[in-house]
Amino acid sequence: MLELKDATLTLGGRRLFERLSLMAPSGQMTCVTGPEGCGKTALVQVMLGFLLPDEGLVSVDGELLTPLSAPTFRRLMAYLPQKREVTITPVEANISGLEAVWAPLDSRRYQLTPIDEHLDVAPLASKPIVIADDPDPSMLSVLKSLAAGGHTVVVASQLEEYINLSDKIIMLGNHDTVIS
Amino acid sequence: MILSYLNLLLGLLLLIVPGYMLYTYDRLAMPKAALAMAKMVVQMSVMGACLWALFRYDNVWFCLLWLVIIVVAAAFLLVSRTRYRSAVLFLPVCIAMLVSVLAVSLFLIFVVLRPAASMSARWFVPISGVLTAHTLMLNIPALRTYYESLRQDGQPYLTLLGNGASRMAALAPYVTRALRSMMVPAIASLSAMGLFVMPMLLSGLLLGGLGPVDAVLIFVFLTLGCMTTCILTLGLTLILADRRSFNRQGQFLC
Repeated sequence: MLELKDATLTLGGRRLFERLSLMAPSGQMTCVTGPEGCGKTALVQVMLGFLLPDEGLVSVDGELLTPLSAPTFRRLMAYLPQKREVTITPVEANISGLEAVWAPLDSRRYQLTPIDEHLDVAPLASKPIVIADDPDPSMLSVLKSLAAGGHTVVVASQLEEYINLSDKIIMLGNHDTVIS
Repeated sequence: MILSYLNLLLGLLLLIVPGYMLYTYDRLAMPKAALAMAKMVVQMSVMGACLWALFRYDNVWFCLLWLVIIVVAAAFLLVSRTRYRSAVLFLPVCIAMLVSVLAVSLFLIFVVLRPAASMSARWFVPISGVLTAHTLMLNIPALRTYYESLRQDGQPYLTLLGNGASRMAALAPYVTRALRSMMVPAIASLSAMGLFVMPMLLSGLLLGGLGPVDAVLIFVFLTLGCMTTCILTLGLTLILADRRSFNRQGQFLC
């Protein structure tokens, strides 16, 4: 379970959200939505511990997520980034086996693999928390089945498919609203 | 000095051919060429005076002071060409280069080239000079590649971190890229070395009075030393600059 309590985030002098509280429980798909630039990606980064909220708390299964504890918690997380060219190869139990497929860096050793074509569900299934930033619509069934299997799934998306099929919706904008 | 004033004057006759060609075909380039040559003469005179003093007094501490001065100058040039925050990089580059050049120079003098070599200006100054020069040249593309990659395409780093990788594992693709930008030109020149032309360093060793076999062997070990120093400097710089290049959350600070 991922939880934010009274979290406020300001980036570049702009307040993205204020006193936002949300709970993303296990076995459910939670969708963070809102207009372009409302802070969906920033919220995802807060959940991953890449950004520190100005105020408020982030916790994973009741344990506080801090800059010090974030690397440990991220071992429980699968993160699907916005950028489509990047995907994750099988992780299994060994964290060091994790690699990014990134063609520009090493075109001989790695190959460009669109995330929606070669995404292996097995490594995602090994992580209790899945966070997807603006995933492709074709990922919907994978993420939904992961939620049904007891995983905590958080999706940041504007797509109707995700909004309609999510168990919980967090609308970012002028007023942060939670619709269950 | 083995050259007389007459020799020096005769040596200047070598300028006739380039001077004539420039005068005939590219007169506009003449001031630039003259300025470059004048700069070279001034720089080499200063360098010559320093080396004269170093060789004259032949003191270990003077040699180390000389190394510190050329390393600081090289670090200044390296940082200005890297296009990353000088305040973050300058000290790590200075320390990394000093430690690497000193360690490899001492290893070459006391282990590899012993008993021929000794801790004297005659051995320490040229060896540390060659190592510093190569480290400077090869670390410019390496450090620039590393920081530019993180600045322009930092998403794979965050993706790996977000999936539980350690910071070292998440930065590995960037280090690979930096190493490649350093090693590709070095490997290309190594594989072509000695095929058609004699390297300048080897010519210098032969001119210094070494026999061909000794000159080639010392040249090979100096080349290996250069590669080691370059890689050591890169690794140490990245480690030392790490705390100020990333924030507590692991985000790269552009």
